[in-house]
Amino acid sequence: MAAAAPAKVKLSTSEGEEFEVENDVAVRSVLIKNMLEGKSPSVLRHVGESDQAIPLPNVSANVLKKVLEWCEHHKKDPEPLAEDQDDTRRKTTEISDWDAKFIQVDQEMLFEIILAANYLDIKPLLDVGCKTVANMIKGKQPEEIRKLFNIVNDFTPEEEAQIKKENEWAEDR
Amino acid sequence: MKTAASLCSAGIAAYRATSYETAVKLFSQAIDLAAESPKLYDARASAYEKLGRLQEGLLDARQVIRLLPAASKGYLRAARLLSTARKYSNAEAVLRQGLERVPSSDGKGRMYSPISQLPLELFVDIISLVSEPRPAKDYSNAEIPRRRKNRPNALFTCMRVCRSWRQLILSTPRFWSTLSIDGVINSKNAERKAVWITQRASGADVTAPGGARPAGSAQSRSLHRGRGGIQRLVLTAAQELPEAAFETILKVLETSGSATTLREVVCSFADGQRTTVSVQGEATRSSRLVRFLHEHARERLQFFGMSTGGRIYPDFDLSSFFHAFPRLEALNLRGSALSPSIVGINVPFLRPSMATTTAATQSTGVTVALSPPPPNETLPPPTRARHLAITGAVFVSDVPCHLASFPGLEHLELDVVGAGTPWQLLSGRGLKTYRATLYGESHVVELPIPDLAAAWAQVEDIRLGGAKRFASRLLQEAIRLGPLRFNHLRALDLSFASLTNEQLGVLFHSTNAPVLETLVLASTTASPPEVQLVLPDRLDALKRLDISHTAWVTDRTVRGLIKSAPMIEALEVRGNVALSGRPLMELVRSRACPETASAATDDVVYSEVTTLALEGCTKIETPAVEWLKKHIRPGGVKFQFIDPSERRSSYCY
Repeated sequence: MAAAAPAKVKLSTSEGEEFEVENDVAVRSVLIKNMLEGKSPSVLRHVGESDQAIPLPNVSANVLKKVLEWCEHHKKDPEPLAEDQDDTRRKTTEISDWDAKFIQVDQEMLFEIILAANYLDIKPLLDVGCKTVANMIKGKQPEEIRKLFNIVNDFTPEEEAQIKKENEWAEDR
Repeated sequence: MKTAASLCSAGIAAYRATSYETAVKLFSQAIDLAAESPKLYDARASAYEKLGRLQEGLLDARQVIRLLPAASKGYLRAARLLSTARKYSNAEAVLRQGLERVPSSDGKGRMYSPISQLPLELFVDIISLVSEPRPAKDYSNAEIPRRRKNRPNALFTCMRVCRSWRQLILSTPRFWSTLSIDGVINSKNAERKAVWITQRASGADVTAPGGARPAGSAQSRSLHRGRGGIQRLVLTAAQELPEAAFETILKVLETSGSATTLREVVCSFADGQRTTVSVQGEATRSSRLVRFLHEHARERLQFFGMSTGGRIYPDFDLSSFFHAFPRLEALNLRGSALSPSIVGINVPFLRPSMATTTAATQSTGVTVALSPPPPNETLPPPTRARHLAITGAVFVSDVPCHLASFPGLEHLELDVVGAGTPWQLLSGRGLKTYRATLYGESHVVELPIPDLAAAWAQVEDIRLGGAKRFASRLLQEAIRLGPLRFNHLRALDLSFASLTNEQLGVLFHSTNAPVLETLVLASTTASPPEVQLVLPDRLDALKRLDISHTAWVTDRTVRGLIKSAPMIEALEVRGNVALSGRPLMELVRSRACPETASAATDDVVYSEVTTLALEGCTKIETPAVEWLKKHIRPGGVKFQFIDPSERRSSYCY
């Protein structure tokens, strides 16, 4: 294959809608990248060469659109160094301005994006999502967190009493 | 007039105090006011349950089910009450009903909260982002106050959200890899906490509703497989822990297997509630701790920090410490040179290495061959040391640290008496931080000049002090080297040094040190004294300048900054009796925001100079101070000493 023209890849969503994207956008997803390089299971080996779309059965069209928007903006980003990954990447909850704006979506979409990034193996996007959720939780009281995520408080009063007692000595401040 | 909420919290208080009768009464009153509150029914049911009034409890549990058909707690309570009453088939029926109606929320429910859709490992990642513990180096500095105001701990907050979160957090060892014990905790709780956290860290089953996993062999095996176990031990205000509690903590670590997983250990004897510290106790404990670590965590330890309010007397040479712990990368021993008391770290295993080093160095010179000399080896083996900070220490032995032991050193910070001991480290290759405050005038003059071309090639932070001629001798060498360029130097501290105009003008001019941001020249003097020191005429990147307590700083010096330091944000000129207000005003005005300055509005426009420390500058007129306060953001001008504690903290840099 000649590297001259920007090769395109077809992706097919859960609804069967097809998206055609440039190769260098699509390969932000390690999953797709591996497919194109033939590292993935044999069934999909030929996808790079043929017109057949890569099926993404658990990603819906509106989520994929959003994810591709991110990939498009970040297609020039350098590959993160392997050694940085675990240490620096995880520790901070800072998010770049563009990403922060990008991720201003309703909660359902936010979690859909996270799930899609996880499935498509787009580590930096996954990080943005996780950090956003982490920032939502930070500094909140349990009651506020429950409200935020629509979680039911299923502790009995005696359990709450016990937990409170336990926290008195166990909690680092 | 009481509200349902206040009655409810009173009821909960009564419940906690085990006065269940009272609690029932209070909850009932609350229910009279708010009949449709499932929370109140559930609360009353729990009180009934405690009292053994199962029938009434069951009625309340039914109310909870009626009001919250989609929540699990009503069904669970009812089932438990029925089981207690030995009506097992009824209990089962209730649970089955619950399973049908509760939309699988506690498991992988999709109905309720989108966050529960996340795969477990992502959820764990998020929680760990929320609850990242403070880095160990936060605790390593004796100057940093230990106690801040109570901050809620994010991890514990998350555990109070709901059962599944709690369960998940408790059963994830990586959240529990830090054991931090503060000396102010009572000793019973210290033990409890140590046991509890080590269990979490080693993945012992917590709530154990079904069968508790037997602690012991299975558990310690899992430690070695994964990354479980306590990785970081933080003891603060350790002088306040009773002797027994200190030992218990070590014992718990040992028996749980967590001692072998330790990587970072910090022990601070500074900043407790008690002001009188037992030096003997500190010495014993720090020595004990080092011995303990050597016995159990020798192969894993990467970071060791100890800080005390006293001086430290390390009774070993520094490389032997790193040799004793082969993976150790950072050693922080921080004491206070101002204290008369001395804390000795006396550990037998640090001795043999010292003997061989002695033998190695002495073999070149005098006689006395201790033990067999190392075969064909004159250089000690390299260590993994990257970070070495020893402050407030007194070296009594003159066994030198051999540079060959520290090939990877990046951060060197010494504030020590006995300059001869660590002298060779001053030639370390490619250091990033180079802070050396060394006392011992004769050493400084007699020992060879360090290899600055190697040591300062990458340097970002330099601080030189202590012996009078130390700084100027090194700076002179830097000039002789060409002058040596400082392409990366961001911070320079030459407090108390005696400087020449050549040293300042050649070395730290922007053409030679282009990124210098912080320059501290407090209490410096000119050499020779009759000369007027002049700052470099270009300090392009300079943001902070400290020229406090100097006799050479005049109005002209400050005026010069208008041109030479276009980026300046903070200027400290404390205790200068020659300085008047005029040049400061000119400087501040020159840094006003250009767009807003020309605006016709009378609104106050703050200068980009944000800090002026002028305490003790008696010549500055009151109107000038008023003017400065008006043009610098609030709190930026410090003119009067407010109170001693404030003064002290503002002197720390």
